[in-house]
Amino acid sequence: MNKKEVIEKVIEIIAESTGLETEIIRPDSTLFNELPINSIDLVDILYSLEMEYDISLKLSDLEKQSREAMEGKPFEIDNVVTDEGLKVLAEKMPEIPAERLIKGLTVTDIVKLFTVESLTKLVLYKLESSEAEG
Amino acid sequence: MHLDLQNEVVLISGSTGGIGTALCEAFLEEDAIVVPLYRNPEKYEILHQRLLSKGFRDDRIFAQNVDLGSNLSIDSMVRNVKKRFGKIDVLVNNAGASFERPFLLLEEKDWQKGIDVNLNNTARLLRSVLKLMFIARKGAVVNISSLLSHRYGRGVTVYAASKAAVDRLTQALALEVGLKGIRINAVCPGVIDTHMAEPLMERYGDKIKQHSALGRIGQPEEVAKAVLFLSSGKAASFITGHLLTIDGGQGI
Repeated sequence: MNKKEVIEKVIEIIAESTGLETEIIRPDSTLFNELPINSIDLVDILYSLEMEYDISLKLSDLEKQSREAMEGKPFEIDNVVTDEGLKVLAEKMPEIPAERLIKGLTVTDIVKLFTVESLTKLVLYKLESSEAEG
Repeated sequence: MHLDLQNEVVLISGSTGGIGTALCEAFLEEDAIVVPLYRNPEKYEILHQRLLSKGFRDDRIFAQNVDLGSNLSIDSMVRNVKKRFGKIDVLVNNAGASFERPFLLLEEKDWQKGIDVNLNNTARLLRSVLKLMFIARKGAVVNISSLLSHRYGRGVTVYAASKAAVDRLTQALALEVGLKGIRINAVCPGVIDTHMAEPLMERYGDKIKQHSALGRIGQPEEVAKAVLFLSSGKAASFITGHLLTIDGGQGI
């Protein structure tokens, strides 16, 4: 499954879930700020993607790859992402503009930085994981 | 009024108990497809034989053995139902348990078990089933709560507390999912003529009847009728987040 196909499907599902026109949903659009998506819409979108690709998506998967890359160092302390955590996030999620990965970012707020492309990468990561397991 | 529940796929947890049995029969009478969820195969076999003996068609029954304490087991069941019918229209969260013990004699594990069975398992099943309802933009959930969620409760604190939580779960969740076409309501039965109420009836039976405006306890079928109504997208289309007490006036 290539990235282009998945991103088109993600955009289609976002459009179906929110009623937005596909033309205004760009890969670099942030879900919560630039697109009028609320948390319930996100649930809907994740459910639809789960059904479409027969995978399981959790909100905690959003930063899972970054946590796994920490090599034992703390990713967060008291819900605030550490400096090392911010660096890893920047590496793992280059689609997020650097100026948004600022000191004081909480784990809870990471989802607000998520773009359409981030969601696509998450689906691809899960598809690869499930293929590896299978 | 027709309830328009024909061919609706209806999941009923705790199907082998008194109210669960009445729920299965009531939905089958409406020609719905019933998915009884059960844990004990022997108890389910009794229910199954009863349903067949009443003339209900076996192909309208798709029973599933599920451990409501396990996400894996629940997800597997939901996949089975989706594969067979492609949808879930109605979920009745009926599984629950009560035991009587003074609060100060409850051990941590007793408390945890009460919260798990009555609240956590309900939430777990909801989380999985709502996925299909979200996609379908349609669905109805009825949680079986209790009169004890807001009245009485001496000796059954964990049951009362967990059912109060189910009430609030019902209302808060109704706010979250209403825009997706999903209605969530609860019924709060008073003392109903089931095995669960037997210890209570043995000790306080006459008092309970005297305290009821209708002078009697309820029958499981009377709870089932209210659940049918709330499940019906035709009859209860504008009702969500509601807690319907069914107690013959016991709580007045």
